[in-house]
Amino acid sequence: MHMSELPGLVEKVSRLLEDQSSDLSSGLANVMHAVVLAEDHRYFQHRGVDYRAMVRACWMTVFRQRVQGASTIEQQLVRTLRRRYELKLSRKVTEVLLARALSHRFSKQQLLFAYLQVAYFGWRASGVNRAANRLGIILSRASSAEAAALAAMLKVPMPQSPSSRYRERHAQRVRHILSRWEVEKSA
Amino acid sequence: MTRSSEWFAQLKTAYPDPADWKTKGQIRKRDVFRFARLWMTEGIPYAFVDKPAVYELAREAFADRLHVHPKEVSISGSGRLGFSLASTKFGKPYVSARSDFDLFLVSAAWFSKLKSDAELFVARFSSGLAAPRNEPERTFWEDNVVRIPDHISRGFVNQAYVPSFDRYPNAQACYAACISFQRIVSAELSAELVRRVSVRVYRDWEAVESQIGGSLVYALRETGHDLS
Repeated sequence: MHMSELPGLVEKVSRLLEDQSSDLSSGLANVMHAVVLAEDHRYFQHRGVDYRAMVRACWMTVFRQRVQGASTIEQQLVRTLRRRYELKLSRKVTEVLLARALSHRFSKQQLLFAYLQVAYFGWRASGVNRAANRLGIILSRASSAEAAALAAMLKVPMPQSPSSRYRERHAQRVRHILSRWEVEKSA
Repeated sequence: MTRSSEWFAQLKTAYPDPADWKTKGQIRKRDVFRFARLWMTEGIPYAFVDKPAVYELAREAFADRLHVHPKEVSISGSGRLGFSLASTKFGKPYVSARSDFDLFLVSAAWFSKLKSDAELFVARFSSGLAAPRNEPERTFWEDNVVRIPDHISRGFVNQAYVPSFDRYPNAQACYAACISFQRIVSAELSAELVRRVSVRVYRDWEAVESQIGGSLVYALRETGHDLS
């Protein structure tokens, strides 16, 4: 059943890639990097599914009663393109299978680029271009702080009227991303 | 003739004394909006009652800066009627050396431009990209980003709530227009010391009437006037 959805997904991803520049990494380098650090830091090591993260999430849910995310960027891309967000095991399973299938058809850079085009960053900020526009960021020249601010919005989407609580949560997320960035640099 | 309250029917001057208002019987809410429409948006403001030409020159300078018609520019606040209509200082007289000039501009185009800048400022401040340089800025900005979306939904943007930085060119242009207004007034009225000029940009006249009339209704209620 899930495989019947694959051609449609492949077509959607291909369409998203039509607008891409010849070198994906040049324009969005910092933003892509920040999104990987924020959402899926083993992105370049797995093939669509992060089994380590899944085991950790299951462990945390069962033994610590803490719900943790384990979705890879490919899985998030599949979820966004399918527009299916229900809390069902069947949805999760098909998402995993479709994410794996997509990762065999497209490169990591392509899938990341496609995800950025459709990801939800907040009010009037669907897709990285609109999100950057909302923050007055020029994507090709985004600093690490700007890239982290954008990446943080994936977990903490910005509402139309952000509250002080929102600002705190967003700032916390930005600090988390930038500290990972620092650790990575020093390593 | 359309019915109106005694209070409204007995208004005889362009600058009525607010002290009389409590003795003039019940005030109808609809009349407050009528009052806002004429007394608070049209004619020569109290602050310029002796020097209307200065006012016209100053608003012309303001309008030139933004390429709008001078008739789209007016004054609200205590400079309009000669006393404050804010609930916290209702009736407090206008003092030229101590009062600010609260201009307003009615322009859909400028509302749209300033709204973009204001929304950009809110988004940048909320994402930590617009960092205040000092404590007063921190305090004001935190307050401003809460108010801006509410103001936009009511059809206006206050230029003073958006920093006049290069990143916000429309807010900067509005600020420059305020400075032009201030220069004319300061030059023409030697005795006058203009403290601060700011502008509120309204989407349309409906938003002006609704906001100014609504504020007055609130102030009258808060100060114990008989309002129906």
